[in-house]
Amino acid sequence: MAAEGVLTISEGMAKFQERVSRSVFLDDVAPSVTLATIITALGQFGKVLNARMLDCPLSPKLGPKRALVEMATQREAERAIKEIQEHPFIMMKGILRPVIARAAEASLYPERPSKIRKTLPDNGDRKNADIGRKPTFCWVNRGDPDWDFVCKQKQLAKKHVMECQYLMQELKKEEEKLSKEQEERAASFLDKFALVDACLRDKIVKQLVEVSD
Amino acid sequence: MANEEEDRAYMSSCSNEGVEYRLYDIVKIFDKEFAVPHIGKILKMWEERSSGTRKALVCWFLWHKEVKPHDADNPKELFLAFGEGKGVTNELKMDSIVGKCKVVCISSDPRNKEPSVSDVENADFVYSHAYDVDLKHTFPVKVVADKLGPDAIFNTEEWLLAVTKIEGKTNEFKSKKSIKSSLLESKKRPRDAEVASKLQKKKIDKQDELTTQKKKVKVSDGKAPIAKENAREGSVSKQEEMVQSKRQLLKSEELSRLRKAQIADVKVPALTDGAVLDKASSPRELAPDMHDIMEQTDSLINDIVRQVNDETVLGEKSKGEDSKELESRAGNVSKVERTPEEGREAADHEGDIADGDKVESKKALAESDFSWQEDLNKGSMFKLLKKTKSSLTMEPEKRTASAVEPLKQFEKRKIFRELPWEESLQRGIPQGRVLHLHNIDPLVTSADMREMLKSAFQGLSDARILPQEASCPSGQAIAIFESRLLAESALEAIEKNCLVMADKKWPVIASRVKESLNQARFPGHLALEKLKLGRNLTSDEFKKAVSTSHCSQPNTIEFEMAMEWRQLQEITRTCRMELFKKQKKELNDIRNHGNSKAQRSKEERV
Repeated sequence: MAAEGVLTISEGMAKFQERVSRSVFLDDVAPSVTLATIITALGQFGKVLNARMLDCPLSPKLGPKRALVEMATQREAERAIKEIQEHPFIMMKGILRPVIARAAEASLYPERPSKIRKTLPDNGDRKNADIGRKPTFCWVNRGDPDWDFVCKQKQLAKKHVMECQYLMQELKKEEEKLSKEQEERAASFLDKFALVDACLRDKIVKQLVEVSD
Repeated sequence: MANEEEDRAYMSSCSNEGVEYRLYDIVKIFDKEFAVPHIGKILKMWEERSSGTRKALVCWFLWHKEVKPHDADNPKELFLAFGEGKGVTNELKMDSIVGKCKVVCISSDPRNKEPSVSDVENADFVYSHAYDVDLKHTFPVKVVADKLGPDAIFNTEEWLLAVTKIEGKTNEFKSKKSIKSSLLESKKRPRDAEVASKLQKKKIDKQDELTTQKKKVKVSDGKAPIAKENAREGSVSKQEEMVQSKRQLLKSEELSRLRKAQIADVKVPALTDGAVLDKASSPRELAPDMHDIMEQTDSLINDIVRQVNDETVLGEKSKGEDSKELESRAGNVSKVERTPEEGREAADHEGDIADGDKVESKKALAESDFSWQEDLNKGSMFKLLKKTKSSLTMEPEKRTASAVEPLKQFEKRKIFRELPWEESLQRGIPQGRVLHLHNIDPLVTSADMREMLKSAFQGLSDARILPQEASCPSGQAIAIFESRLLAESALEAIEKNCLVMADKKWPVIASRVKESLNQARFPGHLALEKLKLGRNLTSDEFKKAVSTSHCSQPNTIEFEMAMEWRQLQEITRTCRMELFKKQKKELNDIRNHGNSKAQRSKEERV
């Protein structure tokens, strides 16, 4: 009984879901990493069909990027995810921050096919929350019965937004801290190695050995 | 800095605006604060691979009166700057070079190809000495030649030949740029009599231009050199106008006058684009060939924009600032360069040039502030501009820096070309046209969003859902409006009243999108240059060793550090999950609670 449109929508959805299941979502990608790097990197796990950056225009330009990579089969995608999750996967030299991989989700695709059907099903079936009514906006003005309720929601939503931002800030601070710490450590390692090198070079070690003999 | 050097691709010759410059050429460089251009010698030329800008290292020549203010022996003499102090050389963009200059070296060194007497007479300037800025004295230029090489300092055959081909005089500022200034007519400066007589096409006086539009078109003979000459001759007075006008004025004038200029300029082959020269040679009707006009307009935009560019780029040369500042300023200006480009892209429909022109220019006259909104209302100009987009080679197209000045004027265009999403966002954010919406149902997709918003607000240009993880309780979206006003009014509406998703009654919150700070670092990037020192690895091995993506092995330092990051990442993830869970719960509570309340109140009423 379903209208024709529905069938194609579900088909579209099915195809889309299938694609999603084959895709890997990469997070915390360094800004200097390019798509080519990503493709070669994930190419180790299988054939890469498609890769694209998820550009959140609101995030700072030099912040971590995210990408969606579509593999040829679901198995390859799963393998990639597993490998990357278990071992720290370094994408580029000097970038110690490993890349995070997760299975892709539909909500990551802003241009995904709409789940909303254009016409109501005949039987007015409202149980299926996904294929619901066509979403529209409407205005709730002062004096409407829902006004209070809606206002409260607004407040809550704003609060949530603030919370998220705050969390992000704090986490960023932590990242900076860690990064600094590691730099210092790396520097000290370098010094150590340089010292050892110098010793070897200057044949001090040899001399010491001779002396002790 | 290592990075800078690697980024540069040095060249031994570079062509700019149809003129080929070779190393060690002596060129004129425009500076808005000076009536005459500076003279410099190109020491190096390169192209920066990352940005595509072409720059040159120029060593300045000092004027006779700067070095020897009391002597009056040879006013044509220049002195090559030399030394460690500031102001000896500058790194400039190739765009600020306006042309070669007729300067020859008259040093009697055997390595120098002595110019003939006529060469010397023909030349605008000569030099045989250098001036040390630290020690503050002159000395023969052959000392510098020993340092930099004879080719760098002395005349070569090619240079002497090239000098003979350089046209125009240097003394009066007759560079190409000056022509653009005449196009940029500032408000009501009367034209010089000299100009009027020599240059039949160009008139600063707006009324004249309107009436003589037709005359101009017919009169010009389209011969490139003559046109050049005329344009050059006629621009002395324009010089002052240009110098004094601010950037906004230039830009605002620019587009409003472009229409006039484009007809007037039909014969002036832009002086920048060699290709255009050919077109200009055929006689024109009053309704000239659209394509040609557009090309002209295009190159005009190029020039004007470059001029704007130069103003800021070279503003500090006299103070001897170092090149970094110049570059940063140039960076600012290049953002400005985008604005005419936007005009181009906004263009769409074909307008009647002649009529539209008159109306527009009259309107522009009436305009007291420098906005060109009225002018652009017709939009015809932009169509023309748009068509020539493909022939442009302006750098700013590639830049991601946002335009500095908001272009409210492009608001009412319904004729915008479809820009890719990122670009339109980059443009929209600093213009205040972008809103960030929160608390969207995560099931809604971009297409839905667009429909919904279009019905709710007018003037929506684009809308997109931001990618979110499934665990986020609510989605976010970005909406781009066609104008700042529309965006602001939408924001107000959303604030004052509630825009809700029907039947779920989720209110949408909106906030402005501000320009994000670009300075955020990416923590976790360890500078490895120091590692190159010493160690046994050669640079090849080094590159191979770490540049491939790999899973870190547990026996390396890298592993340890990477694990620490891992830990932090896990913490991040957990935190986010917890927060989302909490938020979801709160949202559900209030929704259910609210719903039940609403139900109850409905029932009560019934």
